[in-house]
Amino acid sequence: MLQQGQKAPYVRNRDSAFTVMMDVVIALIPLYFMAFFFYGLRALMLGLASAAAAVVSDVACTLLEGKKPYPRDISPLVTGLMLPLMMSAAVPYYVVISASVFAIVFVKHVFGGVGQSAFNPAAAGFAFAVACWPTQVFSYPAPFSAPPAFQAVTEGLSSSPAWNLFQGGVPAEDVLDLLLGKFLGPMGLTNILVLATCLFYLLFRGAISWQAPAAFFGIMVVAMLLFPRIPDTGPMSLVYEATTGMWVFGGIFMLNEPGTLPKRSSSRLAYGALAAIFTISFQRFGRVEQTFAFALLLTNVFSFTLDRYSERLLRRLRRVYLATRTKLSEKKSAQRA
Amino acid sequence: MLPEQNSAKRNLRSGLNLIFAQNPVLVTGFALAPAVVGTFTLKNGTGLSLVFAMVTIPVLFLASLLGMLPEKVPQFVRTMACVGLAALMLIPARLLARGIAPNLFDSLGMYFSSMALNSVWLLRAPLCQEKKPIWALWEGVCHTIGFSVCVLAVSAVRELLAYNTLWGHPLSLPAKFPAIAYAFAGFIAVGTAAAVLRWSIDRAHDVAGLVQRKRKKWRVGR
Amino acid sequence: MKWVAGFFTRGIILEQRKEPALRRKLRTFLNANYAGMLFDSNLPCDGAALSGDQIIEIARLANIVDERDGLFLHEKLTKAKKMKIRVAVGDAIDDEPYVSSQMNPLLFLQKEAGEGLRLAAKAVGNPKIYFAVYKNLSDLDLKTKIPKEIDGVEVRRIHGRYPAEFRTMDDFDADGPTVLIGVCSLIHLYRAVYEHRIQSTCFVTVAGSCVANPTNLEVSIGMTPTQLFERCGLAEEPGYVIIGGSMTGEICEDPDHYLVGTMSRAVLALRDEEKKRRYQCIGCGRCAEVCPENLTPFYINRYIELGRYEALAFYDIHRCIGCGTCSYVCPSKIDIAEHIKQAKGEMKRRRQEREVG
Repeated sequence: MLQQGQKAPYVRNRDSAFTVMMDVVIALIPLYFMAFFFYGLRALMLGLASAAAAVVSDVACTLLEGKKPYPRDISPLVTGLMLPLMMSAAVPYYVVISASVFAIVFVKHVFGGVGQSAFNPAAAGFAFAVACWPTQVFSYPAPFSAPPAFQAVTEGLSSSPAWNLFQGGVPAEDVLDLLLGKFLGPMGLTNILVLATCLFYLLFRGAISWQAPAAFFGIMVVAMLLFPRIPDTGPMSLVYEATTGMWVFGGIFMLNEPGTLPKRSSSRLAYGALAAIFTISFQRFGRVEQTFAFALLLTNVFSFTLDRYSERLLRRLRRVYLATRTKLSEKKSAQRA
Repeated sequence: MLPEQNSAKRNLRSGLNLIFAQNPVLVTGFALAPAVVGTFTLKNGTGLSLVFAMVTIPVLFLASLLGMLPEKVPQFVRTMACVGLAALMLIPARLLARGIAPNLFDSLGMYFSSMALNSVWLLRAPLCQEKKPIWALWEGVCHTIGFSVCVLAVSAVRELLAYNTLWGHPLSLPAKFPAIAYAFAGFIAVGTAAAVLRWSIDRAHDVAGLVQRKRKKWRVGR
Repeated sequence: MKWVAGFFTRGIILEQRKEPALRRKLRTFLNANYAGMLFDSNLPCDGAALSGDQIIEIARLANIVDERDGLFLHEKLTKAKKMKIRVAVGDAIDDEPYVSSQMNPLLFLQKEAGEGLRLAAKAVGNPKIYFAVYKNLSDLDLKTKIPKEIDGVEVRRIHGRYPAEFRTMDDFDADGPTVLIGVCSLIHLYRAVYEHRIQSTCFVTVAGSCVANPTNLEVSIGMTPTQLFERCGLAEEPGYVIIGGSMTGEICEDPDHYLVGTMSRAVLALRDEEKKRRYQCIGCGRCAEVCPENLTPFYINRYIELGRYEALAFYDIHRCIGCGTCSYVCPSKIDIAEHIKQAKGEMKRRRQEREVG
């Protein structure tokens, strides 16, 4: 025997945890490309700083736990790359770095590392940054204004159309600009067309399942159309909300983070629906312009409970099904006799 | 009254253990809610410790006195007497708190009053009925010290990081994290403190074991 | 309707890798000592002249074992006769990759298989008869065609994803109580009736990435895997040897001394190209998506790792059929099926201890 320790089944799927994570990283690359296109080198450097901070703190935590660091586990890279995309391109480096360190150390490793975290690390990191430095996170430079790559940016910053919407106004931007992402906003998630491409890529690759995003986007779209925040805009309201809000990005990347997503498909539907309901109610009654991260953190709490209820329902259905089947076959055999 | 409940050596030792090795908040997990939510400035921490002392020490003392009553007096009467005393002690506590900082009562909110029914005395009072008043008093004092050590340390660190101040005096620190004043950071801070404490207790045990083994070796060598 | 039912089944779509063993002619590889051993009987060598009970008697004399479940064929037929069976199915499903030791004899010994099924049907009271073959064989050669009818018996295809064998019953249930009999034992039944031969051989697929000429062999019972590999040729040193299917089979620790028997079905010499990397569970929940019994292997595995066996009953661990789909899809390469198997054994042991103590 040359190879030992093999267990049945002996043929295995080619996908590994590495490829699953790598798919998400690949889907994030076009967003960085857009950010580079709009804001130049600073966008890339922010991503690099955040990713490096995440990886370094992950390795440090793993060593503290007394384990060997495992370089093929790239989940900290995913978290680190997601974080700066949600913030302004002018955000100082210390904000991004401390957000990603917080996400890895206090949200991921405190709860037990990969696949065990109770809260989505990226959402928690963003929430931490918003709680600490709301002005830095929410004041945006204009696209193509070329903010300096390494110095602090202080001039030419203003609030985004999302702030307008939050205040009850109508964004003044052109619809085409909104659809193409050429407006003041988070550096990576203004272009809704690129985001849609990412969604289809991830779905096609099987890196995410369809249930949670389907329920989430379905309820969000219906709610935006039926109860628009700005009265008398009709379908335009949906365009404003979808282009300026963080929830499109969140519904694709953060909602489907495997560690916090429920495992049963029925509970995934419920999870997506719950996330949508929380997002909408936070938009109406919240105090921040981007509410998705906070809504997701609240939804994470229900993940295990939803699975538990789903399992209980399934047990009930299974028993009913088996009982009716035996009853039917008994009836049949009685008829024959 | 049981004799072993009142041996001086045992009581002194268990009381001192309460400060670190059996810390009521960090190891046993008593009175967690105020320790997590209320401790975002050092003043708040001091206020919490004050209320804790004002409530716990007299109530444990009273419980021990009640233990001397004849057995005919039912348990619920004793408990109600303790609760009544605890609630009464809030009034002087508030008066004293005004001396520390004028707005302490408001900034602590309901956690000020909720300290009246903290889980430390709720659990310890029935056991203190078996003890002599002097040992009940000693236990109350030690519980207070243990609680204050934890709460003051956590609240000082949180105030430093969240507002860059200590007891209201501004200090210049490189970074400021306003989010640490929120409740979730309280959970993290108390959890981290508990982890650090347990780790150091483990190390202390290791060191003690090492010393003992060395002593034995010497003895064998002789 | 049935096609739709197959489409919606849970499970995995597997690359079947049955070629070229399935296409190649069935070959014999016999040990001279035992070839052609006969039993003594006065019964005529003619199926038409025999009664049902006589056929069962012949199955008993010939020591035929059903390769499907390891039961003696005569016991199975007696039981089926008592149950007033309405459908008898010759099982040649072979849904695991590499294995074709039922389909290949069915294709190349059509007359024996068909007549054997008719004899078995006569023994249990003339029910309807079918052959069952797995449908989802996407990577077959163009030359290999599964006929619609074999020796006058309709061939029904079992649709759907990988663990198909366990729901074969459901496909035939509409007609009444069903018995499934392995095709190989039907062929042996034919030989026993017409030639009075004792079952001294079994059908085995020799395949795998290290085998030079993957073939289906009819071998004498009691050959060793090494002998079979010598017969078929090894392209490279095998990493490990498996007895049984590639999904549910077992590792053969000692190929020089293991004896191939009726239940073996396949001897595979495999070698993993890549080093197997293990990851921590990332919690993706793919195992729950594919489980054919609709269980949640994620939580089962987690509770097993935590040692909380009392929580496993809630997740209906006893419904696990051990098909291994969860381990197959797991991107973290966790041996979930193996853990469940061990946990089941452990739970059984504890239950027995409790009953004794």
